[in-house]
Amino acid sequence: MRALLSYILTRILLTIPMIFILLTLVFFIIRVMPGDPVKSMLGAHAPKETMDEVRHQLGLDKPIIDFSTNNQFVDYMSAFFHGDLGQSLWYRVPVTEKIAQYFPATLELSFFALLFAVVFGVATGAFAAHKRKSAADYSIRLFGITSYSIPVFWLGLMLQMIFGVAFDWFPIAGRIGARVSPQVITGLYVVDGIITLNFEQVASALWHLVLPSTALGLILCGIFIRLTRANMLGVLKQDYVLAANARGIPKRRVVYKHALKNAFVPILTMMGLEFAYLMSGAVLTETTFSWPGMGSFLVESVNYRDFPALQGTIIFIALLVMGISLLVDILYAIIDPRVRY
Amino acid sequence: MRSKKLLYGALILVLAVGLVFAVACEKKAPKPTAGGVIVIGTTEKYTQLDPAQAYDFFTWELFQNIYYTLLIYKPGTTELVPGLAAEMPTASADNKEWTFKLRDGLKFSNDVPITAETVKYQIDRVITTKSDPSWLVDDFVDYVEVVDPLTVKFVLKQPVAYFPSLVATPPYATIDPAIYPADATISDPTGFSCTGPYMVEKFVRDAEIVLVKNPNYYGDAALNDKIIIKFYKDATTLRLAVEKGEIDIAWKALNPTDIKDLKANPNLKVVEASGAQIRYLCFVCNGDPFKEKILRGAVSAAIDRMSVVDKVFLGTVEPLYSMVPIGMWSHKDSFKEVYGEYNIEKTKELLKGLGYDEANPFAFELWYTPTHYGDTEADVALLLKQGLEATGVMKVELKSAEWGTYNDNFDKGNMSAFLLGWYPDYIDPDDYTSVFALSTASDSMGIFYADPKMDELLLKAQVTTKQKDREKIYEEVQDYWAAEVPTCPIFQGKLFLVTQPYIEGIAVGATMIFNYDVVYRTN
Amino acid sequence: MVSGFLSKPFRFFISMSKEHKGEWYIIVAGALILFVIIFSSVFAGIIAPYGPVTDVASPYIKEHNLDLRAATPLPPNETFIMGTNDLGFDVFSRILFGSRTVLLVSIAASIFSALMGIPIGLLSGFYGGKVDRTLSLLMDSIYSFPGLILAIALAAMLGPGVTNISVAIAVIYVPTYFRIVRGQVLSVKEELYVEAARSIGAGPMTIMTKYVFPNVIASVVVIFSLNVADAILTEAGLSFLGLGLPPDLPDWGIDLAKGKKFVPSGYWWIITFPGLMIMLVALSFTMIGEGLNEVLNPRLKEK
Repeated sequence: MRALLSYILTRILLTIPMIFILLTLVFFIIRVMPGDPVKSMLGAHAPKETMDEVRHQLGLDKPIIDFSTNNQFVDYMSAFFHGDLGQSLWYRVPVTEKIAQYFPATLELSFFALLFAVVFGVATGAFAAHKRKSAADYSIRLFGITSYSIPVFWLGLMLQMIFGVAFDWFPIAGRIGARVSPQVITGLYVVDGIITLNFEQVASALWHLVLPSTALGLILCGIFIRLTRANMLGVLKQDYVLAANARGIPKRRVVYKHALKNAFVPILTMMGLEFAYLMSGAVLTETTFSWPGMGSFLVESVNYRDFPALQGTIIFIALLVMGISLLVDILYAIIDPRVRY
Repeated sequence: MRSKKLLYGALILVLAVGLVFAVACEKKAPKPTAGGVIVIGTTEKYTQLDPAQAYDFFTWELFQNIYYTLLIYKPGTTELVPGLAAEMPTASADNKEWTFKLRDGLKFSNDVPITAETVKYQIDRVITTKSDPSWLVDDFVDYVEVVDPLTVKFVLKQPVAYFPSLVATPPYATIDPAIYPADATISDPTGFSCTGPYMVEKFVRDAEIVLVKNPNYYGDAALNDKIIIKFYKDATTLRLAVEKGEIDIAWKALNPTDIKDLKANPNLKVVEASGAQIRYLCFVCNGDPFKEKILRGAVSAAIDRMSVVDKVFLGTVEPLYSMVPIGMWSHKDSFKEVYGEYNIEKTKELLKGLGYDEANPFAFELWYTPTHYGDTEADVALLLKQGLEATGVMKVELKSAEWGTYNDNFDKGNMSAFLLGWYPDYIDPDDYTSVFALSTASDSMGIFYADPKMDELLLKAQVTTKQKDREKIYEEVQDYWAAEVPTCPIFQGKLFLVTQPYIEGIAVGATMIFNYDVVYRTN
Repeated sequence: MVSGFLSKPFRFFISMSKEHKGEWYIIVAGALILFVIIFSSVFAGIIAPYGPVTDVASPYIKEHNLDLRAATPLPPNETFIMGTNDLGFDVFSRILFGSRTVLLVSIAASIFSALMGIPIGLLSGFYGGKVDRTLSLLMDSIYSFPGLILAIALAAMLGPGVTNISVAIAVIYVPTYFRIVRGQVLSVKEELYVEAARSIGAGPMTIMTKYVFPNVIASVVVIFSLNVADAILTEAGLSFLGLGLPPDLPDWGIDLAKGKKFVPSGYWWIITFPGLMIMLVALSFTMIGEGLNEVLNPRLKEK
């Protein structure tokens, strides 16, 4: 127990310098970006005094970094520790407000994509292990490898073209139909719809989720296929499974009941590890499907050179990824006591 | 065998899920809208909802429907008519003092009365806050005088013949002092006290805005009960929304391919209007190499406008041969007269005089910005480059920078030749000419052009009062422009509204103002 | 990381065909695809029927008396086997020339990452202590970043261009090399023969170049090919988001980005082929990398 606690503590302490490094890194990357943010914010025709005033308001007339405490870097760090990610230059509202607006969309998409990846990946992986060395096994494995190499945005475009345009089965863009006025409580349209018993909203939101989460899910599922298959093959060789087999318990039951249960822990871990990849994939998927989430906001911020927004979004995503990996590590340590670093 | 069962099981499951979805989809099929609600979809966004600060076309469009000015344009025309003013203003003999009489008993939508003081409040505010569009007031108006509760007098810094068209711009809109502070601009006001035919019922940024009839509007009530504007992320989404009947009108901006497809769709109407936005090529006129006028001319002769119009825009824009747009009074195809449509020989001849030929081509950088003008911009730049290089005597290197950097670059004169676009502030040839070529203005446009004759012509046009005389001067300006080439016009946008068949009454003219109140449905 | 099995480097090249038949097939298949692609990219100038930015559709349309606006873009036909795009450029020729861009950027980026990551990893692992802790922390921080998002920020900062985009991509893979090399060094360092070399007075430089480096090279090869595969996808992703390359450079990602708006119009050929190619190239590198990895790493060996 002590060992576990001290592991968790060390793991948390290690995260702190990482956050600091990350903040510094993001700050300098963004600050040396070319282009005058104030000019792109006010337009080229704004009077010089106005620009200077805005620059002063935003603290952009201060040195980026020096040996005093009155510079942009110190401002940035202290703002961060007050939970302030700055003001979007384009929207002129706090970046945190924009993140609160866009993040639920990303969360909803990520959740359904991950759900698809895990369900589909585990199912096909288990099936491949069950039917080892069959044609199905080889096809599934081949698909597993290939899925790493498919550009998610292309897969998205293909799904749009086939299921959205040619068959006209699913919508190819947006989160919800125009005639549905979504009630927003959590920002997760499906959840909000259930809470408010607005089933038209639930249906429309789910309907819009089908293609994007399938695209993102298919990209992610490769790892779950491999993991499930490898783990189950391992478990199938273990004594108790062989014993169960010998006792005449049907193979299918052995495979799906015992073996699958044992493969669960590594799958959970992998879900955590895949989170960073999921976020990268979400950025591209959102752009493909005009999904109003963090990825779209990020790309928009780049295009508008809205650097507080860009900075804030990147920091938020990075912290999220760090948080998730911390959480998974801790969970893993609790579930599987053999793991120590 | 068992695995086959499993497979079938999975298949049935998938089908079942699909069926559930299909049923759900069936449910959400569009039903006919009751009453007079019109849903407009757009890819544009509102910036700051303050007439003293916003300086973009789409936000101005909202103001032109909710915040009226003293004078407004008659829908679909360039004819100015009294708005909050009771009649057209009277000008002093020298055009320096303009007196407006307000309509009697005007009230904001929240019943706050409107007086001459209220009108003056906004003008003072615009001058004090010095925001982006402030120059539309500040450069012209010296001060505003309240003559009596229903009379205001604008005293100008110098005579301005086209002052009424300035007064029709949103910075001159009358707003409620209780909402907008005197010394600061605000992006998201706490409420909207409206003077136009509509007032705001609900606004969720980037999602939707709902406009309903303003009970205190002085004029005829709108022909529809409610306008809902839905904001879409991109043109593709917008196109699909209008195709599927989710919206009644798709407006700003569809891709050329989408317009082509939708025109072919028998279930939709495509309304076309000439736009007033123009695209042009700028030169740094005081730096190398383009301080040489002949080079500017040589480039202008080899601008392959039709290639851009046909291939990139599929005919959704028009080739432009003057800075004064097609459809505006005094417009004249001066560039076509001087250089022809796409005249390789002329370029060769001009460049030969300067010692350039096939063996020694004239090399320069052509700049563009990849997102600000839409994703077609890179293609525009590429085709212009190909057109220029097809002369054999020019070598063009394409360079790009994002809008922020681009702005910075053109302020500093870092880009010798670059593509830019212009949306008019007020509807007058002055806004297409003197803002660029006056020696006092050209630096901020990045062209650093100064010519005494041009200055003289433009200034004369500003103070001349007789329309006929002004027309003459602007024709002369355009001819001189083609000889001088401070900028080279390329094309002019057209506006497209795609509507459901039951939508009528759309009148968008050269002012590009879309008045929602005259639109109605026939079902 | 499992390690120590590499004490006899390149052993696997000999044993490969016998012990790892399946993997061998995968590697060869990957290499074959890759060879075809590299070959056609090098000789694109000869193989490609047209230039990548030449309007070949307009003359064709004129010749066949079609309406320019209605007929553009041309679907695949016997003249243009993959059709033409909206500007009349031949899609097939663009595919061929585009492979140059994607290969150039992804391989340059990976080489750059390797050149940065390997020495830092060697140093860090070899010297240990404070240097190691600091470097590890820095690398872990970069590693924890979602790769594409870091690349977006860097690409936005550096501006468009082949070199800039390569650098932006390179940065995100440095930690991969660092981690693998450092891990290897830590374990090799403890091997008896290294201890022995040290005791007879071999300097750090000698130990590193003579004993440590040869040991990590095999895993570097694996990482490199997987890394190129990933870099290809990142490059395409950046171009797709419009952050990357000038428009007169044929690039698959840019073609996809531009093709996005043609989805509702059903111009499938503009979108399908570039994406297919990205997948194929990435797949060929993945197959080589995965194959080598399974040969080298007995843990994942097929049971």
